[in-house]
This record gives sequence, structure tokens and C-alpha cells, in this order.
Amino acid sequence: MCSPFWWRSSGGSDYERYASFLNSLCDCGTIRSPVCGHHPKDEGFLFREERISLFQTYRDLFKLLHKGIVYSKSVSWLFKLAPLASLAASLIACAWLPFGGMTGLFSFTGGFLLIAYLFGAARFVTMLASLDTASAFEGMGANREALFAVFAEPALLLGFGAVIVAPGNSSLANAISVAQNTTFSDYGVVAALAAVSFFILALAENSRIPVDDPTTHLELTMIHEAMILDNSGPDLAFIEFASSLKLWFFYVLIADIILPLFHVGLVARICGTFLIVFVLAALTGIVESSMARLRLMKVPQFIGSAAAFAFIAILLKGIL
Amino acid sequence: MKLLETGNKISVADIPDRSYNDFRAELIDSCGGGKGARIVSLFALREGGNRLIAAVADDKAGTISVTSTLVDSTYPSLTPALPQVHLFERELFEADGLRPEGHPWLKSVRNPFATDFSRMGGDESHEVAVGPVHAGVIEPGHFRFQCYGENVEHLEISLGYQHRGIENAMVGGPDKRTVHLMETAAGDTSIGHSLAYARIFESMAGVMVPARAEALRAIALELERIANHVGDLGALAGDVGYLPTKSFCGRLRGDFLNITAELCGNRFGRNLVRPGGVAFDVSGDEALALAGRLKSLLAQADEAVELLWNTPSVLARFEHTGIVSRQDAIDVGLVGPAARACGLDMDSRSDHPTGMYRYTAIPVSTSLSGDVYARAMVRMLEYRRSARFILDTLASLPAGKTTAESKAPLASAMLAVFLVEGWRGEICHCAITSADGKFLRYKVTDPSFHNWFGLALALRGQQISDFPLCNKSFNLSYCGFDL
Amino acid sequence: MMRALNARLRQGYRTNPFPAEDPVLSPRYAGLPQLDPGACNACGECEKACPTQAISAHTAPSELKLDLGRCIFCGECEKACDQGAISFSKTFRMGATEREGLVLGKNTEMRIKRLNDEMLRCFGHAMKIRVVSAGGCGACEADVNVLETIGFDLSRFGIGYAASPRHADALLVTGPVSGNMELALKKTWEAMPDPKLVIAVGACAISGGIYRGMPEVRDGADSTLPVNLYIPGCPPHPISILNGLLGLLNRLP
Repeated sequence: MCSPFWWRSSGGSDYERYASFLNSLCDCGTIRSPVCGHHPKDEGFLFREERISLFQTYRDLFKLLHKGIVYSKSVSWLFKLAPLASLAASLIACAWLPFGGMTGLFSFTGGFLLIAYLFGAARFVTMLASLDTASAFEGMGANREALFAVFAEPALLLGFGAVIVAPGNSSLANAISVAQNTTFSDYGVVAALAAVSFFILALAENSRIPVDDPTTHLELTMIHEAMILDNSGPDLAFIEFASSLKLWFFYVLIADIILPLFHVGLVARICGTFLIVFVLAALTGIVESSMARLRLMKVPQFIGSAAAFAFIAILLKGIL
Repeated sequence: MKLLETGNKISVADIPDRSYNDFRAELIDSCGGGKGARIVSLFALREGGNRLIAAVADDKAGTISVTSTLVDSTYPSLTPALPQVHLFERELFEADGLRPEGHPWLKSVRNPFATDFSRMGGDESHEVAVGPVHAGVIEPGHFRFQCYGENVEHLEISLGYQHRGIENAMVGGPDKRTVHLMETAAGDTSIGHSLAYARIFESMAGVMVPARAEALRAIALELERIANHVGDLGALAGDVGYLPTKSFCGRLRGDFLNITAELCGNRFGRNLVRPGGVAFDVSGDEALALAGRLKSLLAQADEAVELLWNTPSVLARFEHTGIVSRQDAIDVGLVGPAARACGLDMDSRSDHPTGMYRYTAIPVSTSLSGDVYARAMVRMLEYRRSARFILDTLASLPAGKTTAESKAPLASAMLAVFLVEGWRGEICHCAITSADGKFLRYKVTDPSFHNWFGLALALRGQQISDFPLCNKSFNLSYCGFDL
Repeated sequence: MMRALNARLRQGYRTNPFPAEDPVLSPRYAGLPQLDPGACNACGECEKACPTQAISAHTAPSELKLDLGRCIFCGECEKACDQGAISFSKTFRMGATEREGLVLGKNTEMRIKRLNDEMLRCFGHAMKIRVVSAGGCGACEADVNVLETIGFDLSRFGIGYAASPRHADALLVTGPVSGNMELALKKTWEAMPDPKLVIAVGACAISGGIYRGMPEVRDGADSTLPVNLYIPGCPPHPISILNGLLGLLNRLP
């Protein structure tokens, strides 16, 4: 949880930007380890007994980078492109993401739309790649992913709408700095609802229970996992790292929304971000440890609830 | 049809030899249309022409009877009138080359390379093929789903990957390998299969098994049931992504297996049951220690399993998933917990009791809804009742020897049939000896043989993502089927 | 939810302390056989009793040999020997990286050699295993599976089971390789990216075990794949399997 780079952020603004990005790269794996085990297939942390290494994700990645790649005879260049595409999307998303009040590596008006569509593009390429393998499961996984994306993507945009557009801002960084001057009663409810919406999306987008079960070894119930069954070696490393970053992205995004409510200094905000990310990881663990997966056909309703929360947040913003 | 005599055996010469039409009429009369009896084994003896031999169990009367007929290489199929023999007929077709005319789906049983699968037409349907190598750590099997979207319209199960040729290797026995082959017929049912074999051997050799040995065998059989039921309840929780019960039961299963290891040194009960008795005894102190350990594990298991019934998200997955109707269960001849979950009151321990079960009854556990919930419920009731039985038996272990000293050879030209209620259901072993007292034919029917088709029925109209859950609720054996 | 947390507290800490401490095994557990050629009188009774021809003792006492790769630990030889030349110890540490190492009594050493440095750097703290059951009775899979439960918690060593051969670093084979599984096993192996290992678990996967010589089986994984680690037993105790894996990864204290 503590990357070697965060202390530098007290320096100038250029440092800030790089620091927040490097933080993402270094910390996403360490948050993933306690939540998911060293691999998305492990159990939630509450029901684990021995703590596994915080650096397990990096060990796995290191290993995968040193492995060869096997391509099946049926795949084309699309299949080879997809892992890079999803990694690129996640990297750009993290570069854009503000961290503890520090602006992201880049930020511009309407940047959140780019992020939403980048995730969409990455998903699209991943789905195409999995169809490219011509395997029945991967097709099934892509099919499910597409179905759920129909509900998840509007929810993501609505969530951004609630925290950025509805209050009249143009970018997330802008929204955060504005929110820092607002009061709890003005922004609190909206932030809370948006945070719930993003948390539901975080569960859905990162294959967590109750949407998908990262521990499952059951090919017929997999969603995201089913699409990457054919990826190996460095390709798999890219995908794994991309999904670590994605989890980190959603947690930090929620922290970004909540933190401005507390009018505190930079160091406190950075610590607060780590704290919120840790709490969210624990919350994910508790959700995973205390409820079963939904029946597959109920999942759209669950993801739909994220959109509903975001929508209510927008309405409230209008009223308030 | 002729009832088996004392010791569940009959001289081969006394097996009725009917014309095919009489044979067919007899079987349909006794087993068709829910008359109560079931065909527990159907196989061919190739000595002196193709002789079909059927063993029929009447659960209400507690009897087993046999009948036979000579057939040519083709004969009119029994399956249309008596669906429960459909797999037996396919097996006869594959192994003995006897073709049942009019069988609705005649293909080999243990040849995974047979590619003729029943297919659903139409542009919007699709086919999902799974296996033999699965994502999880499970045995190999091939499943073909005919799907419309996420819905399964039809599932065909193609096995045979685990085929080792056990039945053939039994011929000419018993020898030093025989008992080990039986212990590994299905590795998680070592006690069940070795016990069925021991009963055949003892009946044919006229060995009287000491009461203490029978008590220890029953304890081992029930321990096997508890370990597997508790493990499967945990696995069911795992399949719906409910981690607490999955974690606890996964560990508890191992702890129950370790109790079996206390008895005989092996977690799966290898080397415990031997013809004539059991190879290990327990002292009074050991019995007390075992009972104490069992009690504390049971408390933990109860707590872990109780969580399932108290978690709405789990119940939402269990209820109305994978329903097998009672009529289908009767028609296709389901056995064991899968049948009891459809409300069928049948259990070899009470219907055809042998050994300890003749003195101590274990209540039959049934449930009515025929879904995953019912199968889970039956398993929970069963492990609790088994535990009570073990504790009672441990508290009053009969004194005496644990093994009967007997070197008597097997009776010549004899047929014996025994039913043992393993944790998956009824295990049927049927042996025929030659004139020199060697096995001429040894037919093993694992409960999975009857129940795999039940799983296929349970999946109809279900979501394909519920397959693992349905599969685990049956938890059938691949190796027990493939032999 | 509170119930689950409550239960979590009461169920307590249950992970086996191995490898820090040796586990407590049943007093009747039959582990590594001990041969005493001094006591052997070459009567050949053990050989006659052995169901898997694992033992050979008919020529001279010094020739007393036991092939652990074939042994199913049934204890018949111990019972058959009235000289006490064979006994089963409580040692669960069994496994070898060379097939010859499993033949006890010859001048060979049963040893699990750790992987070379290059492999260790990759796999030492991160190894994914693809398990393929190729024939057999299902008991070995059960004992392999149990390593993933909290009782043994394989993932604390960075080892786990992979859902796809593409994700796997090692292929763990159980069962004698039935003729019907031979092709699937080969394809699984070919589907794995280099570098990769093969681990044969159980008497069946090492030599065919009780099924050795039967026409439907191929007498072990050796027939099809290059095996890197053999773990004997029928089935091996989970702790023996864990010991083998950790030995290979140089993680044993």
C-alpha cells in the first residue's frame, strides 16, 4: 500500500502528476493481493487464514513476463492486440485519475468521456479477441460481457454525470477543486450516492462477487475469466496488470469523490486516499465473504442499480 | 423370475431361462410403470451363447430376484417400455456387440471418441462443448450443451475417459489384485465398493463375518458418507460463490477423512475392508477418542452448513434450480440421495440391509422438491443421521474378533448380487463364478451409472451457468461410471 | 452476515503449520517403507504378496528392492515377511525428481532436486498448476484439491491451480493415463507455454499402479510426457504432495 513515490508529491506540480501516476502503478498490485489473493482466483481475505504476500501480484507478473506465449492456430492479430489495448486503456485511465487532490498526469475538459470510451474500446477489443479464438466458452464469456456492458457503461457515465457535469464542472480535477469549497450538506448526499454507484461498478467491472466469481474454476459460470482462458505469458501479464489497475482506478475514483468533503491538506488527503482505498478493499472482501453470487440473469438488475444510484444523485443535485 | 437364496446367491443352473418375450414381460411386469421393483443390474454372459441376466430388486419386499434369456446378436430393445435400462442396453451394445433394435439413442457408453451427438437445429441455437479437461480439478468427462442463449435445451454427457477395464481385470479372480481394484473402482467410495466385493466373496465362500467387523465396516461406510456429504455441501457453497461454508467444509471434509485414517492409516479407507472382516481393530480408548473427535467436528460442520440455510443469496441459487420430477426419477431409475431428493423413499441400508444395518436402522432422509435445495437438504440430514449411528455404534462395539479365518474357495457356478448404500447411492456388485470357483463375470454398477442421466434431465430448461451447481449437487463419479 | 463472521471467529485458525512444523499423522499412517536387507532371507514371500510387483526379493537378500513408484502402500509385504525385513515408517517425505530415485534398496538416493536458478527465479514464489486426471480412481485429485482448502492453503506459497493450460507452469498428472485420455493429456501439454514442468502424483501416474499392464492404460505419465517430479503414494498424503512441490521450489526450511 505504500509506494516509494508518494512522498515526492509534496514538491511541485509536475512531480505531483508523475507521483500520482506512479503510485497507481506501484500500489494497484498491493491492494489486489489482500483483496483477491495473489490471483483473482483466490478467496476473499476474510476466509483466508495465512496472509499471502503483498507483492504476490508482482511476482506473478514477473513470472508471466518470463514465460513464452502459445497462440492457437485460429487466432489473428486481433487476439495479439487485445492485451495491449486493455493495458493501454487502464494506463491512460490511471494517468488521468487525480490522486489525493493532486491532478492526474493530464486533465482536460470532458476527459471523463475519453476514459469511459477507452474502457469501452478495451472491452470491445477483448471481446473480439475472445471471439477470435473460436472457442465456445470464450464466445459465451464475450456474450455475457457484452450484455453486462450494456448496463455498466451507462452507469459509469451517469456516475461521472453526477459528480462532474451536474454540479456544472468540466473535468474531474475541476470538480474536485470546486467540491473542496462546498459544504457537506451541499455535496455529501450526491457524493455518497455516486460512491455507492461506483462501488457497485467496481464489483461488476472487476469480476467480483456477487457479479462474477474470481475464485471460480467453473468454465461455464465465468464471465471475464472465460474471455482470457486462451491468453498466456506476457499477454496474460498485461491483462492481469490492466485489471489490477482497473480495480485501483475505481477505488481511487471513489476516494477522489469522497475526500473533498473533508477540507484537509495535501498530506492528509494522500493518507486519506490510502485509507479509503483500504476500507473499500476491506468492504469488497466483506461483500465477497458474506454473500453468494447472483444467478447470472439477475446480474443486469444488480448493475442497473448502479445506474439508478447515479441517476438519483443527478436528480438530487438538481434539487439541491 | 427367481428370488435369490440365503446369502443373496443362486446356483447358475437355477437361474430361470426364459424366452425373450417372457423375459421382457417379466421385467416390465415387475419394474414398469412404477410397480416398485427396479433393475439393479443387466449384463450378458457370453459362455454358451449370449445370455442376458437381469437382477431385479424389490425395495418394499426387500428381495432381489434374477431372470435370464438367450438372445441373438440383436433383440428388441427394452428401453422404450422400460427407460431405466437404456444405459445397460448401450453397454451391452458396446461391450458385447448385442444390438437392441428400437433403442432411441444407441451409441457407445465408454468410447469418448464417438462423435454423434444429438443436435438442436436452428440459426439461433448454439452448442457448447466442455471437457474432457476442465477448468477445475475434476475428473475428465465431455459435456455437450445445446443452448438457446443462456438456456440449456439439452445436455448430452459423454464419458469413458477414465476407462481402465476393471471389470475385465476381475475375471479369473479373486487374486491379490482383486480387492485393490475394487477399492479403486471409485476412489472416493473405496469403502462402499470394497464392502460390496467383500460381501460377494463372503457369500460365495460361506464366511461368517464377526459382529465386531460388521460394526467397524458400518462405521467406516458412514464416515465415508459424512466426509463426502460435508465436503459436497461446502463445494455447493463454493459453486455459488459463498465463501464461508466453502472454506469451513473444505477443511472439515479433510478432518473427517483423517478420522478414517485413524482407523486404517489411509484417508480414503484403503486397506480396511477385507473379505472376512476388517484389517484393523480399534481399542476401547481409541473408540472413545474417535467419538470425541467426531462430536467436535460435527458441531463445527453443523455450524458451517447452517450458514447455507440462513443466507438468502444462497437459497436463491439453490431453490428451483435443477429440478428432476419424481416421475422422471422413477422412470430413469435414479438411486441414492438424488432419488431421495425427489421424494422416493429408497435406501439400500433399510430396504436390503446387510451386516450392522440389520440391527440398527438409520431413518431414510427424503425431500420433495427435487432441486438443488432438496439434494443439499438430503445430504445434510444424512450426514447427521450417519453421525448419530456412528456414535451409537462406537459406544456399543460388539466384542470379538475382527476377521474370520477362512481359506474356503468360492462356490462354483454361482451367482451372487449385493447392494451397498454408498454415499452416492446404491452400489450393486454382481458376480458369477465358473466351475472352478473363479470369477467368470464381475459386474459393478456404481450409483453414478444410474444417475448421470438424471443430471442431464435436471439441466433441461436451466441456465447453462447453473450447470456446475447442478453437477455438484449430484456429484457423480466419472471413474465409477467408466470403470 | 454477522452469523458468517461469528462462525469465522469460532472456527478458528486451522491451517496446517507445515513446513514450519511436521504435521501430526495418524499412528496407523503407512509412510516410507524401510528395508532391512540384513534380515531378508530371500524367501520371496513379499514378492508373491505384492499386488503391483513393486518388490523384488527372490534372488538374494542384498537384492531386496522396492519400487516406490509402483507401491500402493497396502502393507501386504510387511504382513507376508516373517523376518521383519520390510516395515512402513511414518515418514511422509517421499518424492524424487529422478524415476530411479524411487527404487529403494539400490544404491540410489530418493531426492527432490530443486529447480535450476533460472526456473526458480520465475516459479519460486509463483507457480500455477494445471491438474489433469488421466484415468485413475479420483482419490489423487481429491488429495490434490484439498491443498487449496484452508487446511493447507497452497496459495500462501504463491502456488495455485490454473483454470487453463495457457496460464499454467506445471502439469500435474494423476492416473495411469488411460488410452482414452492420452490425446487430451498431450494436447494439454502442448497448450502450455514454456518453460513448463510435469509432476506425476500417485502410483498410477508414475507406473500405472494397480492398473499396470492392463490393455486400456498406458502405465503412467512417463509414457506420454517428460516428468520432472514423482510423488509416490496411493493416493499420496496431501502433505507429501505439498512437500514435493515445496522441495521443487526450494521452499522447504
